[in-house]
Amino acid sequence: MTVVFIRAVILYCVLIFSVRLMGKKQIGELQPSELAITILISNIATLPVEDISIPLITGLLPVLTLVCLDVLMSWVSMKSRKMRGVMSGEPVVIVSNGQIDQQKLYNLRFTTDDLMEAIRSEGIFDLDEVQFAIVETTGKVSVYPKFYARPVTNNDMDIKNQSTDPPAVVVQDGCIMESSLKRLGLGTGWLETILKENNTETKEIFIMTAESAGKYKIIKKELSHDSKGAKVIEKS
Amino acid sequence: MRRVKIAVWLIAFIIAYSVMSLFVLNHYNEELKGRIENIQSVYESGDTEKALALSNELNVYWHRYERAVTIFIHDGALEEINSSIAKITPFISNENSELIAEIQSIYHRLDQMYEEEFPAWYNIL
Repeated sequence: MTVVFIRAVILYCVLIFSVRLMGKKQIGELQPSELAITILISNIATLPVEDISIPLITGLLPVLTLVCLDVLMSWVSMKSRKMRGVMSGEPVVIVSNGQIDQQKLYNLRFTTDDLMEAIRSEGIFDLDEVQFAIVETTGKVSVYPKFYARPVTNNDMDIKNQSTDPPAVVVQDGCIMESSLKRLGLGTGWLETILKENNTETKEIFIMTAESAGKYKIIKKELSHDSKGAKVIEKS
Repeated sequence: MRRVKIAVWLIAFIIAYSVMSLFVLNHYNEELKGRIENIQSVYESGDTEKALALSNELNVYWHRYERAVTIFIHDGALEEINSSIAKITPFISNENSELIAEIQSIYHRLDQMYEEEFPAWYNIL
């Protein structure tokens, strides 16, 4: 039993390392080859845990090899467009100028139900409203509505304002997020001044967000379960 | 780019480890075969006492072999050789005629184990 436990711990560490090595991608965003590798890895990893007569290394070796090959192939795909086409395929236009390309749908083995489901998931319920639709290499369908069906934007309404980055978390559960402060160009000196102004300390803060312009919001930690809510300090 | 470098290093390590495991297996196999051959020749010359002493040494060496090779060889393959090695000492003391056959089966299993690990097309496919 101890052997199984230790093997599981080692495999856990190797799998975490492998997933981190593969990079950040959500299941829905995986390319077909990446999805196949992910499933394959999960299958291989279980073998040496279940059967202790199999050397652990024969389980780890294929996992690491597949992950490394995936990393190398994505690098090659990044460098070569041809390779990208081989590895991930090409996006396919299924609706252009409001006209459905039935041949392409047939080639992709896409049923009308699939098409309707895909456009509905984009918030469009009338096929007439689709100007352009494309099946991405991940299998996701991206839809571009006709002009009259597009939502009104600030630009359409001629509303002018400066585009700024969204607020970033600079203190989280009493810990200063120095990388966020650096990204906002504020620094720890600014934070110390703000804390002094508000007569508070980092350890008392539950969450603090800030923008590069200096706008911030502090939510203090609740002191007890009886308190009616956390104290909020805001500066626009 | 850092990920690519790690991947290249890992692939290089895996290849080196695989090649090294083959060399280790070959080295241990040759040593084991040499010891068994020695036991066989001493036994055939009629010196049972010396053959028994060599057989005990073989058992000690076998445990070392098993510990080194079990990292990359399936337990099942080693278990078969283990049972054959365990028979050598009683066969020598009883002067059993099956000793030579058992030794031949150890040779065969050792060769088979190495062949299975060798990256030949018939193993890969």
